[in-house]
Amino acid sequence: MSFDSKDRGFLKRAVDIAFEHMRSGEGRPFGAVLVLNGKPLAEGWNSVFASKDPTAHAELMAIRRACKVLGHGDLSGSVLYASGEPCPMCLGAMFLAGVSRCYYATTRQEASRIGAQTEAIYAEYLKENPEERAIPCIHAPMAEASAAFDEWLAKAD
Amino acid sequence: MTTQDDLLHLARAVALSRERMEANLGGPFGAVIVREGRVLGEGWNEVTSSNDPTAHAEVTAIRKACGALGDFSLAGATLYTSCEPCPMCLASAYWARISRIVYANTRDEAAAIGFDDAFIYDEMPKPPGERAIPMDHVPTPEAAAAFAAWMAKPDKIEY
Ligand SMILES: [Zn+2]
Ligand SMILES: [Zn+2]
Repeated sequence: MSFDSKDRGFLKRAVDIAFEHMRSGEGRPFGAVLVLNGKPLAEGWNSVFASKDPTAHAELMAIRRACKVLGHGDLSGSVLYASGEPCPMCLGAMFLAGVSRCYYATTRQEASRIGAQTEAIYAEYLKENPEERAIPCIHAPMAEASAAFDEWLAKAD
Repeated sequence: MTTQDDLLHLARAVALSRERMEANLGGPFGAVIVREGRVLGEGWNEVTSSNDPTAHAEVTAIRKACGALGDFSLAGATLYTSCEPCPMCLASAYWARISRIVYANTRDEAAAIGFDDAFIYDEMPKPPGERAIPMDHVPTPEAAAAFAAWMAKPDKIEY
């Protein structure tokens, strides 16, 4: 791992953001900075309480803002600095957006101690049977659903 | 176990997936959130039309339902989705306190039409340092202090 003073500066910024927005009551103390080619592209913070949006995590918001700035959804080559270890939702978004690297300062275990469910949600992915998750996931096959997928495959554009 | 009502709501999610795909808004994915028979929100894939890789049907439906209710909790609600949720959407359902998920197409069927979530599912349980996206833990005193400040905050919202 190469982690230089520039990296440290961006990670520090992510933590500063976490402090700032926690103090203003917007959400739990999590901040994130997305950097492309050494330059900050977008920042995000947990605003779950302020926006009443449970998906408004720091990393997800930074990703959404960065894509808006760029005008496309591909963040290949970008580095995410997060004050806390990304949860499975934000990690999934990082894969979907093509984020290339991540540095984080606190772990999922530390997040558990302040009441965040990150660690518990990660544990759900170890369950083989979706119906046995804390949120039971029930498979109800439907002919129309298969047809929609077939239509996608046949779609010319 | 699914009821007749479940299948009706699921059929609506599937109909959305088809309609919005035909309108070129994104891939063939639709979702509906229902609590006590009441539709709280609907969503569809808007990834390509909004340049937002997080704009999956389920995340969009959750955001709309919470926005309409003015509440970040959807406890007691069922998420009906035309396809098995990807790892991002599954976790968003946990954060939204969704109580149950019913889906029609599977992740394997999604992979067969070019939406491969299986890879991301495989990445989830790995130790952060061993993932396809390298992730490094860099502890800093400031970050630990932010958590301590949260614990000490008298007016914090519990959820
Ligand atoms: Zn997250
Ligand atoms: Zn998804």
